[in-house]
Amino acid sequence: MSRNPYQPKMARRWYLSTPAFRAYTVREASSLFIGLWYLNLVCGVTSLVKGAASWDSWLALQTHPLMMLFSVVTLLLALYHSTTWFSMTPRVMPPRIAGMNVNQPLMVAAHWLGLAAVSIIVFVATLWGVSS
Amino acid sequence: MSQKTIILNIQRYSPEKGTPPSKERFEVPYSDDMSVLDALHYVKDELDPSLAYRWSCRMAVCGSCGVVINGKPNLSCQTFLRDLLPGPVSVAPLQNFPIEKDLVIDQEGFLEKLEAMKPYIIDAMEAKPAAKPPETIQVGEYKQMPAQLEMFKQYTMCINCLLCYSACPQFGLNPQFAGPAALALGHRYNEDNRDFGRTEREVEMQKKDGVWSCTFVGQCSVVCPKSVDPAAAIQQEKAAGSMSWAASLFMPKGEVNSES
Amino acid sequence: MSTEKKVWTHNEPLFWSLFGAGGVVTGFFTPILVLIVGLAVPLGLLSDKTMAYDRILAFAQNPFGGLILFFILTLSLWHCAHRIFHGMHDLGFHPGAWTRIFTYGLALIGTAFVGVSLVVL
Repeated sequence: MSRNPYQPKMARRWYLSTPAFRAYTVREASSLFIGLWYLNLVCGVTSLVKGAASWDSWLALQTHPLMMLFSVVTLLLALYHSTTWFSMTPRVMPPRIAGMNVNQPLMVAAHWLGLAAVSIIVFVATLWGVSS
Repeated sequence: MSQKTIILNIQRYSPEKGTPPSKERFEVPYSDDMSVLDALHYVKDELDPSLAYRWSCRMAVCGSCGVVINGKPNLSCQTFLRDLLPGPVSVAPLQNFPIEKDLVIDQEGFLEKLEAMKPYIIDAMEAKPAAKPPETIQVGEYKQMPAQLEMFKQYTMCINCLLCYSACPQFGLNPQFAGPAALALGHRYNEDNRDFGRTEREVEMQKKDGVWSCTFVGQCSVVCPKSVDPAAAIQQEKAAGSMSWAASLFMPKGEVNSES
Repeated sequence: MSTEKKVWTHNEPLFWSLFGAGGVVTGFFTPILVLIVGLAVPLGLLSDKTMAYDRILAFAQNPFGGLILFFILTLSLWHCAHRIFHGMHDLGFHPGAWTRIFTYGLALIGTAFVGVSLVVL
């Protein structure tokens, strides 16, 4: 009996073919928007060096409707990144650390608390000493 | 009125004919306690004896009966028709593997990868480089506390069913990728306190087609019938490998992985 | 004498470690940063004075503030570059050296800009 194995090909758009792969694709794509948004921030830092006028025009750029749309999308994708990242981090840990079993749901919850804490700290720092 | 029969659309492939695989429709009597494997048995016994598929234990411990049911990798013995009502149910071979016939795939490549992981206890004395044996060891005797067992126990549960390879797109894109099960097994031995073979396994596990081809899609762990969580094993090996890589930067040339 | 194959024929652990550190940083900081800088201030929900030149300049000039800015920006860039580069492979493009240079290069350029800027300030 002779063998004649059939080699299947992977679907061209496999990354859109199941809900799980679509979610994965969104997760990976989030880095495109986040990366570009941070490049925007890099431009901001650079304009800071150039002086007040340059800085103000960068601030004005942030108000452009397309830029704001970009920020909205980036915010949503950033939250999605945070969600997926927080649930993945505990699995990079070994099953036991320092003599205790690693409690994954607890770790995830701690991450969300951390996000809340960081957000509050940044928010307060932003408004510190500013009179409306 | 309860359903009397259910339709199965089973992917067929004949190596003699060689034409691309296609689905064939079978009508099978239905009862509440039937698994997809039972349905396949009925097809082979009563409808078409040429149907080829793997099975053995019927109780999800041997890993033989992996197939793709309604688009999801599953063990046919553990997937019940009552959960797939009203049907039709599509049954296809595991994805990303060459198809020998019907639902039977070629798993030779996987077995080679498994072997390359050196999936056995490598003694302190046998390890390259040799390690200092723990004090209490005598030939054949190892001490292991429950806490030490916890470090790797879940990774021992793998039944080599290959559902994870079917679910893994990185394996689909790159057949040279070692894959979830093989890497999880390597991790199982690396984490076993009786084993001293981490360095020996590094070449296979830390190469580009080893852990570094994984992008933590995570579907392997989702489909695993034994909750092994191979994705976690791979990420932990990336972390361990990163520390080994950093250490290697400080080692003089020529001493990498050498025998003493 | 070494008769075994060399283990480290690639530098993936470096990029993965940067990816990991960047993922943590961006996971915690990006939402609030985008919310404030990208939406709240431009929309006028927060006073314009929050992002006034003197204020932000003082923050960037502060050694502590500058370091925070540096790490948040650059680590996030390295995180995204790594994911984008490997994402190319997922999409079916076989990213070669040039793609790697492009993606990580952008991160490197970003790092350089931020680093130089903060030193200059």
